[in-house]
Amino acid sequence: MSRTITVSPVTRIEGHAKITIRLDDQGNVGEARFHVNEFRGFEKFCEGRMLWEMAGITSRICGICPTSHLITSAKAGDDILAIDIPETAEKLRRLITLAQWLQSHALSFFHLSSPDFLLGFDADPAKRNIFGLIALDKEFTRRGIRLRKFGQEIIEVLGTRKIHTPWAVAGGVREPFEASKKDYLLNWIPEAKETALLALDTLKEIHVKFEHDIPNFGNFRSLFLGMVADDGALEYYDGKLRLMDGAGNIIEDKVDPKKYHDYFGEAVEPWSYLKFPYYRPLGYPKGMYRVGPLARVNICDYIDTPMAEAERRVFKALAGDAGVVNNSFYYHYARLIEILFSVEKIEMLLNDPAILGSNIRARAMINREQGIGASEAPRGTLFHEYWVNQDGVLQKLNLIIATAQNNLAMNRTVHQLAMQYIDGNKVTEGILNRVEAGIRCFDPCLSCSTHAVGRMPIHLQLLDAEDHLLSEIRR
Amino acid sequence: MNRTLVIGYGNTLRGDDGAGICAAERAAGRFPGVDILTVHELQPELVETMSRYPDVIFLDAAVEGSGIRADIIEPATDHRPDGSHAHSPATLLSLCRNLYGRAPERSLLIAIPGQNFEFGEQLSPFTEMMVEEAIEEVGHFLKS
Repeated sequence: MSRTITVSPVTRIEGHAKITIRLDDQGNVGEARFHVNEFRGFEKFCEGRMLWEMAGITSRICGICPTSHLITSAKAGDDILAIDIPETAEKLRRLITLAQWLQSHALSFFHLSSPDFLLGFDADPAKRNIFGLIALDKEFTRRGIRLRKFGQEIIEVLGTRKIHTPWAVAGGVREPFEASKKDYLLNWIPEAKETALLALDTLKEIHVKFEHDIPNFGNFRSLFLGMVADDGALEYYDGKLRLMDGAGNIIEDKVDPKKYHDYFGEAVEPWSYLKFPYYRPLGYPKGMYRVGPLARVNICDYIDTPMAEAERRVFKALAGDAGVVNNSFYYHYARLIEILFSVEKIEMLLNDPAILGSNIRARAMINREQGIGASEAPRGTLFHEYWVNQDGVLQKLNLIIATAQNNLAMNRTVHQLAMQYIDGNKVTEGILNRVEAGIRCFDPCLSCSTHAVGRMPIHLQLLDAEDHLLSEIRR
Repeated sequence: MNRTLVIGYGNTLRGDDGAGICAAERAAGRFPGVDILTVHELQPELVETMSRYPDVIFLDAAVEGSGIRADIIEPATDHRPDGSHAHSPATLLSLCRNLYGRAPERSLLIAIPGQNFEFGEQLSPFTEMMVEEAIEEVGHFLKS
């Protein structure tokens, strides 16, 4: 008799989702799906709003990466105004983008994933949380919280609040950087670097500890997409798109993000509100690609900060002959490299006199009826495309979110983990947690991607083919 | 430090849910011995600041109730976090004690009843009135 295992909701991710795993008559894993089952519909209710409101509105999509939406929306506005923004404004936008990476990546590693790594996938779920971490290593936990706080402090200094700031706007930013805050922020740098290095050392110990589990965590070939600078360096704000295959070959390069829909399509499935973007030339679902830290660190030729570049070289050695690191578990490694990069780059920007300029906003009327903004959000490449009328009223918009672009790969990861760990008759807490941890590698932000709200304890059900409940686990 | 920390939290775009923030901002102008923080939600990053204060007052909106409710809060004894990035006052106090070895000696949660949580930045007339009562409650706590 075939059965279905349901994990609902998936915990320690941003948003609300469930996993179903269908077993055949012999108890073997058949189909495995990651469902996103909540809907918020920003793309619909933003129609009719003014262009100049969009950065502030779309920053409300998410409490974790509001700044990424803010910046990308402002860039779409720049395109519609058809202007280049002042140097100071661009550097300040870069600074806040890096702060966003820093606080989001710190949350992902220290708050959401470290309980699994340091306490173990099979640890008591009642202790596999921040209190368990404190009991194990108070200093590590404190440092993780402070690292995230540093990112939030930068965002608050620039945008006057930690989340949902409306600070960026089409044409630039609303407020200049207060020179008196520069030294305050620079004083955080040594500690932030120390914490980033501590986290990298800890993760390398984790790699050894879980050497038998890691090969099953979304280890497959796929395409990788991200931005790179003109010289191939890791880019986060305004690069060109590069697409690399799972053997390290560059498939597309120097693609203007404004032409994204020439290369990428979006499929839908009836069982999820999260779309399934794919690379058009390969079709759906063969055109699966991954975005985010693993993709960015894989595709770039180098990182233009010394400590992060040294670590990138160690990371690339994991690829071996493949030329590219295909295992999704190493999202965590790439994420920590990006934390280090962010801290180094923030220090460079804070020491750049240009950020103290007062020319922070260019003004223009509506000069185009369509515009596209793109930037690298913590979880991957983010696109905002707007269509406006002559008065700047939104007629239509399309948001392509990083988490959606990883949708096919997340489903593949769930399937791989289920195949490895589920034998059909026994579903333990540890197995359940490994399947969830596979999703956490991608650090999905479902609030962004669909817009989910809510959070519940985890609930796993075993159902037969007629949906009769056979057994269940709750926590 | 002998000052009192007042933390107002909520969503100012959802009508009366912004009552805690409104009350905290008004309290700032009336009580010289307090430091004010206004936040969207309670996050672990607040804990380090809290650990430096002997007293903390949380101001939040309440979905139910017809009057101000003021409760002394103790650190949570059930060490299960409320979620990945937003916590209750009791959990924050517990995090504070566990991470820094100390938590504010006195902690008060003032819950301000709301009537309208729909989109909008205005408080309902009823909750406006309750905000004033909440500020009076802050004053009583500071004198006690």
